Amino acid sequence: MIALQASPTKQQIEQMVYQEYDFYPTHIEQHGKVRKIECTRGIYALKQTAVNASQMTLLNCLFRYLRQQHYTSFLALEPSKYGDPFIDLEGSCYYVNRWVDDRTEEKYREDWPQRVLRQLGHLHRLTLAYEEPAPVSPLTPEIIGRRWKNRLEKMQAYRQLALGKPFMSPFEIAYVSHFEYLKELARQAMRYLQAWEEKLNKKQEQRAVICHGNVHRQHVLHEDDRLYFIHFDHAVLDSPVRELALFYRRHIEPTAHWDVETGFKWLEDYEEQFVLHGEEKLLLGIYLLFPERVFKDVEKYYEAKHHVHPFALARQFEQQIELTRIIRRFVREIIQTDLKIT
Amino acid sequence: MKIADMLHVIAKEYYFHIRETAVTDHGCLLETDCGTKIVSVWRDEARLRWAFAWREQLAEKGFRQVNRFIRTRKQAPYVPVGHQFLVVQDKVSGTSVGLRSADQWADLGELTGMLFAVFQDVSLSFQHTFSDHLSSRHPLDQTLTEKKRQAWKQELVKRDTIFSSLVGAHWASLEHRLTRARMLQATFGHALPFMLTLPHLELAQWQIWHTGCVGLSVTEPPSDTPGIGYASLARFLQDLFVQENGTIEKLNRFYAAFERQVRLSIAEEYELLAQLIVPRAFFDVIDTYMENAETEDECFEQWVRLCARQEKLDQIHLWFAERLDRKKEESVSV
Repeated sequence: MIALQASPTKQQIEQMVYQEYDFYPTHIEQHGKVRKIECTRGIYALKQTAVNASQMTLLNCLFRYLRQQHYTSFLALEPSKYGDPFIDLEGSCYYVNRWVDDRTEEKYREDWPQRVLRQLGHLHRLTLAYEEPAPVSPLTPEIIGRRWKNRLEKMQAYRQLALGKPFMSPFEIAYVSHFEYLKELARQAMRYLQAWEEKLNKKQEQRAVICHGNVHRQHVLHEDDRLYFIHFDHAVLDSPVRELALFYRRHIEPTAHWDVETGFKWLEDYEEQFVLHGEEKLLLGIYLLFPERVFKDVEKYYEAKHHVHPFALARQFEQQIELTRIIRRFVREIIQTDLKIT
Repeated sequence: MKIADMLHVIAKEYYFHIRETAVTDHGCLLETDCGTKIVSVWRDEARLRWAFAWREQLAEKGFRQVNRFIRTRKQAPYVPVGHQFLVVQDKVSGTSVGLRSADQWADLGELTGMLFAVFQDVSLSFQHTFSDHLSSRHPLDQTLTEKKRQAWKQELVKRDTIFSSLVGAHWASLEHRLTRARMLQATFGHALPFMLTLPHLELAQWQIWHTGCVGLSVTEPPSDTPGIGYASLARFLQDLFVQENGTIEKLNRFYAAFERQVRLSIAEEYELLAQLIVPRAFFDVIDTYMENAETEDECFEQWVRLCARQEKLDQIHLWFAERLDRKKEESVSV
């Protein structure tokens, strides 16, 4: 006996989604979380997203705005045959983009970060006047400060854990020996952030733009000589500095030749599109000063998320420490060239 | 509109490729690379907008398995061609839903409730468009005027046939029911909100689609005027009850689920009760007979069938009347 209102199976939901787009697939391929669908209508990417329907509605609003602003470095949502920008089925949202044959080799060109930063700057410039809410709530410096405090406490606990062991691993030896330096960096960043907040944040409202929220190589597609940002699930109306700090943190490679000059070159490319104010550069410096990436590696180590040989891990850790020194110099120069906090 | 012109417009405006065509009463049927599509030609834009609006609202409420209007390449829901409009929908083939268990009655009640919640929401914005329709087509006023009934009565006496004597025997009872229905309507008629509905609700409209889930497929002829109020719901309940081995328990389950989606006001419940009481089908038979005396044999047979059916239908309006009484008692007992 058929229950009229039974929850549909995964297969039934899939059929419903295809029906909504009038997809009669001739070929289907799974690419991570994205499904490539080839049909007579064309080739499309279908994605089930973790973003809920109201967040998707906000995203659609943002995409409409970007189109109006003639911004083209994103993939628009393909409407269903009924004109819906996404499908909300059984608590999950599905959306479709046209399929882009991504030119992966473009992502490993030396100037890739600069190209992306220019596009990010463009996005930030165009969305400075955007007034609608974004899917994700922004993080205030106050919240970030609290997070840093918690992170540092956790790092202290890991250090204690390492010291309590009769035989520390090579990674732990490296961590313990650099801990005081890392702690000092973290404390300095926290102190500066607090001072920044007290002196600058209250003076005037800080600028907020649409930040993609999760820019990395997998979320940038290359086609011909153009690039497209995809996966705006973490898009947030926030200070452009947060996006920049995340980008720097993620794309400064310990193995590549990255120096203070490169840091400024990146910033220059970004500022071709969107010039940062003095206090924003200062905030960028503060965000970069906190050794977030090293702390994440330590956390990963203790949560056993690394699958690398212990010696290799220790070597990587030393490289990260070296990078923090370069970043520190970069930050010092940003601060010196702009506004000083004493 | 010529089929060639129609196909030319569709090929230009829509994304699919047409492989085969067949002419239908209201447009054509297309075999395309994206499944079978129904094309219908509409003349009345207000009716078209209404048909579009309730489907969109239903989808927005979360029930997406409904045959909505397919958008053009430019995202328009229909294409104006001169003074007419072309609409493209999927031709959905599904299997009928069974209504054997009380659980299934409850499921259907919930789906029907969702549909009526949508009708309530959407109707407000059509109030002015269809205000003439409201005044000229009130279900109990137009077809069953006092004048018309008196004329029927006189004509029945004049014709003096077996059928007219059968009707004569039941006339007082029919009048009594009609009067009661009208009294009920008059009680709260002024408080009755304007509501457009589908003129005909049928179980066959709910089907298990090829996706394996229940869908609603309504292919109303473009010339059909929307229904008003709760006449279609009353008829739907009656048809279900008679054709699907209804019981009071199943009705209770249906209505409880219906109410989870849409709670009718007291005026609306009185209206529904009135629509359950009014012996419309009998008057329709008389109307047919009055139009054409040669249909007497058919009308006679139909009348007998209706009498047999009425016994069962009386259970529904009694059930609903008792339900209403209980509700009133509950509302006054503090």
